[in-house]
Amino acid sequence: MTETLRQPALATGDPPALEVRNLVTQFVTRAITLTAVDSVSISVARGRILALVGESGSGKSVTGLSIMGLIDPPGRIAGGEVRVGGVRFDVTDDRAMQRLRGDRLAMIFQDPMMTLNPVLRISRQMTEAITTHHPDVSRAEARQRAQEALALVGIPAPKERLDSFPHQLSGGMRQRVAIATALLNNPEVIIADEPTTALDVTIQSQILHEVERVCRDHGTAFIWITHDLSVVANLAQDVTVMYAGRIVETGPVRDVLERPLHPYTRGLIDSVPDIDSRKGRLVPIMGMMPLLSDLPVSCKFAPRCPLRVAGCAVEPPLVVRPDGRQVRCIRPLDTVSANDGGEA
Amino acid sequence: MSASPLAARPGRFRRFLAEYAQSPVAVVGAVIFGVMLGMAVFAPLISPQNPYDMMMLNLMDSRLQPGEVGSAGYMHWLGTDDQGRDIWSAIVYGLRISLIVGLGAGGIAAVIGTIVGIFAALRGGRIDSLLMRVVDFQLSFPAILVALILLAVLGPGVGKVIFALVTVQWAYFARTARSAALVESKRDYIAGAQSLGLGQTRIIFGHLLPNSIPAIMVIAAIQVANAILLEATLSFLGIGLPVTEPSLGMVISNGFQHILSGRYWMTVYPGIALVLLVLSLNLIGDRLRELLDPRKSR
Amino acid sequence: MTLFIFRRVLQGALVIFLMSVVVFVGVYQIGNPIDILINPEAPPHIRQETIERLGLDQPLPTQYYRFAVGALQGDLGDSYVYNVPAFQLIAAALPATLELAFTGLFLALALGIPLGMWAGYRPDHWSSKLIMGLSILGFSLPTFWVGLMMIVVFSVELGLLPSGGRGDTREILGIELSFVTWNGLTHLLLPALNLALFKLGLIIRLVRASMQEVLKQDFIRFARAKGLPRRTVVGVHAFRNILLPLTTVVGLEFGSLVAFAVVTETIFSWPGMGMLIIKSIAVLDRPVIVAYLMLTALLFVVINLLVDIAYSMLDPRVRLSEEA
Repeated sequence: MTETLRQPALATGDPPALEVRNLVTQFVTRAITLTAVDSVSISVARGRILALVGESGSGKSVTGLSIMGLIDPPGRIAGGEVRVGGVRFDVTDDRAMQRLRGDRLAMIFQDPMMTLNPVLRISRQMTEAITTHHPDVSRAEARQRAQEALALVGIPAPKERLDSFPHQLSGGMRQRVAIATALLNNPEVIIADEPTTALDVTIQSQILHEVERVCRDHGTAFIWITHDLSVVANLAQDVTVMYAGRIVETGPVRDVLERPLHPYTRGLIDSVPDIDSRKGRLVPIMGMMPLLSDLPVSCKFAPRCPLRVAGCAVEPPLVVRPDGRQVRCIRPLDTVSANDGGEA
Repeated sequence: MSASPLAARPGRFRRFLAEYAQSPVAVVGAVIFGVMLGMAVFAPLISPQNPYDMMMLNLMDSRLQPGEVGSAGYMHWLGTDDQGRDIWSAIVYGLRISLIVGLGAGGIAAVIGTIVGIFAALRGGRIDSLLMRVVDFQLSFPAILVALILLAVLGPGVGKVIFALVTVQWAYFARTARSAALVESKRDYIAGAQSLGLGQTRIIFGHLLPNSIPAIMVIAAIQVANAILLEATLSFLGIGLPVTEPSLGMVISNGFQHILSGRYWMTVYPGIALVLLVLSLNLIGDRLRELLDPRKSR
Repeated sequence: MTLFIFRRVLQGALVIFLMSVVVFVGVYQIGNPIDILINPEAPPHIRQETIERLGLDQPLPTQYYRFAVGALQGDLGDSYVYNVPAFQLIAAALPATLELAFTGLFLALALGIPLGMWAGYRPDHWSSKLIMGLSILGFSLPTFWVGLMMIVVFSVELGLLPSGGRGDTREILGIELSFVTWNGLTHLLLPALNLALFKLGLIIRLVRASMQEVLKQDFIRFARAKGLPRRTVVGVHAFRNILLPLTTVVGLEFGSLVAFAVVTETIFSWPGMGMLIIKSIAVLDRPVIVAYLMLTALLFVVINLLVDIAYSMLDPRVRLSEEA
């Protein structure tokens, strides 16, 4: 559905707005080293929205933070490449990343209540995002831009709002301010980490609508981190599913949701109540995601997988199929017939 | 969940000690304090003279430098003061007084404060409000001011100094005990116990009190340290303990006049002793706070 | 805002009134100054004359009434010892003590805030652990002994700084201040530093704890995500948030600082209220004692009021709810 609203076709030679290759992020303690993100690769083209889906603990948030270079000790980026607009950046170089952040790469967080500093005015918090990256812009000009950004995200009376303090705004408004702030310098990529989870459904749909519009009008690429499949269905064009720090499936949203390849993806879809379907009962995925400290050497999902076989004792590689979809499974669902169980 | 902390005591205590010992600094603190306590208790055994027994003093020995031998034939490791008192002996006996006053005041303040605090928590409502107002009022005055005025009114004397110190300190204990008791009294099992008709006494002594004890212990170590410091300060100012019961503060004060003439040992060594005593207590208190404060996340 | 101030002023007045009663009655209980001031062998008519002159033969409420009326006019009686108005004595000594206290506070903040912020920002660095260790030492050192050591080291041994007394003063706005002269500064440095050390440990710990709390907040992460340089994130976003708890505590502790100046003034022979009160207690110069206590109470009330106002200015959440 969203595909028809996409920007005029991009030249095929255009590099992706954001490309991540084999990112590895670890948390190192005296006792143990945990790998929260294990060789994750994603790619988002200009004007596209990629949903990054997974349960809590799957590593999706850490991936977002890693791309921004916001991982602090004891975490560290242990490998991989990040390219913005085709140019490689070293995410461990804080100076270089600082110039990117807020300018070409922006991020929005989950809890709007504390995203803004309670003792500073909105105007200050927005204009500083502009003047840090563009010192030549005057204060008046920066204020003007901030005001326009507020209007853009649908905040009424933006001029007055600019001088207010965060606690004078509701959660939904604050999140819009955060989005407006992220948009100020026309970033090429915005990473949104579950920005609507803490808001009620009506506000959520409004915000999604704004986001779509921004993406359309400015060609901004979005990475939308979420665990909510309905958001994925309504907003994104592509989706990547993560499990235990790894990617298990990637593909266009329509395809993945209607014809999932990985058993875990199928499990996620099945466990979501569907108002239209005739499903009798919700089918949860049995068991729990393994702790990072306790990962099996087999396929990470195998212990919970109804289709597991002996060959699953070895971690499968991520396979890129001819149609462009990717899956990490030796028995993708379209190769398994309806009655073919596993040796559970 | 602590149904009855009195039950599993021995094992818990040992575990607690083991946890405490995980910080080498804290262990050093405990050792230092233990040593000083021992020194104070065994003072007559480890000091060559009783510096406050006039018969043992010899003015010929006055102002000896550290390391000199006095007329009685033994070496004064830390020198003597202008009355011929061996500084080492003065320190050791002074420790006694300092500890007696500090521990005494701290202990009494702890008891009084805990009683008031638990009472306030249990009663709640207006009594609680009133008591806490009094506590806040008390705490808004600087300790030194309160002590100064009280001692000005009462005059010198060990008991009076302890009284002044207790007046300054009980409020801290009251506030802490009340907080701890409040948290505990809100737990479901207390309501359950009350509805079963369990007596107040049983609830207080069996549950509220034992669960307040950790918090009290943390405060106690630090308050004793503060009491010792405050008493030393008062003695230094010449208010408080009578000349016949000299604490470390007074020993330091006695040596004050001689600083400018270079006879530093009369003040420096007693000062070091005082610092070690208070420091060790603070280290212990800090470690206890790390271990027992439920709010602190590791 | 004005309603707020008005209410607080009223509360303050009430507190001062209560204090005046408590102080007056309390001090009244201190022995009999006659026995101290007059030679016991003096003839009875001189005793009687003195008693009448000082009004000591009147019943308690009358004495209090006389006192209160006088107090409201700024007359707190004459010092038994110096025979000048007690208020005058205390007021003359006040600037010296305040100068010392303010300088001490300033030093404590100037040293404590940066150290505490660093210790909170990089808690695992060896320097931070050192700072925290030193802060415990700070609690444990008796201020008076540290003062003595300072004199030993800087005056006696090194001969760099004077060992006591106040330096030259110059009159500014009718008040004699010594920090405006070089000589005055050299005399001020050690005592102020000594007094500062008293509170330094507390400030470092407080700032560090606040810093750690604040740095965990989402808005710090968002500030970094905006690409703000570290110095702005820490120096503006974090700093503005630690000012709140800091203001409250500092305000309350300032009173303690003024009271504790007693010790520092004694060691460094600083001619402030502290020395005066010690001497007055020793000779039971009641009017001076009362004057000191009343002035201190007034100071406390004023400080509390200023702290409340400052806090509401720093925290927009409070400010606006007061207006609403």
